[in-house]
Amino acid sequence: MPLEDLQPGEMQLIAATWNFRARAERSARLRFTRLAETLSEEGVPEQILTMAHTAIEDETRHIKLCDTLAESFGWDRPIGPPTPHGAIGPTDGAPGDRLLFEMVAFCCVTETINAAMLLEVRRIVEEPQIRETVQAILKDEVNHSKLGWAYLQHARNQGRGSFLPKWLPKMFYGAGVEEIYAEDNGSREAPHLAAYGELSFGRRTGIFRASMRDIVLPGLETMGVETMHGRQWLSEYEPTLATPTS
Amino acid sequence: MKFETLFQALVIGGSMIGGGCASKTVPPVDAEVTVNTEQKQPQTQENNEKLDCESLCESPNLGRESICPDPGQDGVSNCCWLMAQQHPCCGETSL
Repeated sequence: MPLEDLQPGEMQLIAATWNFRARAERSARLRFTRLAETLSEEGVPEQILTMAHTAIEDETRHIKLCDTLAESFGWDRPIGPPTPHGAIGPTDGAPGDRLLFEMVAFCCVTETINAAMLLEVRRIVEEPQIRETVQAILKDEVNHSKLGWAYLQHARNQGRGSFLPKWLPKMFYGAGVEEIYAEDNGSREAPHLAAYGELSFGRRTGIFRASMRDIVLPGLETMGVETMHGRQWLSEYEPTLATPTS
Repeated sequence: MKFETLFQALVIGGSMIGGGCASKTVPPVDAEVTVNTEQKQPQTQENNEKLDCESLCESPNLGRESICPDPGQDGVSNCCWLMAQQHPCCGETSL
């Protein structure tokens, strides 16, 4: 089916999506640069450190891809600053706990949701340049998420991470749940925009729900991290997440 | 919408890396496993000759980047690198 032509406002919407993504990629590059340094200081196994360094290179490529795509759809304003990327974690925690918090929050939670969103976009998108860009980014985002799960497993094998359960609501909040569930102006609801990779409210929240239900929560539980506090907090947005699915 | 395959790729894949990294020992190469792999090789190649990967897969020459029918999910295509069980066309190139 041929792609439906876009109105100027819709071009700007898609340009804004990819400009925001470029800002997030800039933030991720800065975060991975800091995390790689901290992981190195901690003396993590080589394979985990290599994955962190590869992530920095990936993000550098992603920034270029996203900037190019935003420009192709008419983005002509100055490049925005990176989204927040400072160190996160319990302020009174030991450095190792803060590192583990950030790896779980950023890689296991945020990057997992990100990978799930991109996987769904790849399924629906038809516009060739967006499809190619999503395909190029998706594979790397999967590895960034996997880095978090690898580090969490490594930490759990060392008997670390017992503090994590009570912090899950903070992590989920930080992953932008409020933004995902925020009512917008309906500009992404037009069905023909799906072919350009835009996610409607229903699709966006559906991906979030499924990624939490099928990946993040069972993943944490698989690694012995108790999720009751996290599930309780999430149930304010998604009642079905209150208890594990059988 | 379900993400079981992604769970396998991310959590189980990551867990294997983290678990493997935590142990400093390298598992010994099992002679029996090596023999089995060698025995299976010609059979896979034979199967690939019978398969029309060009029509079965999207971008069939991209190896792990190809999108082929997922043997683990009926009627679903997937990236080869996301499949828990690889489609025979996934190993078509050196990528």
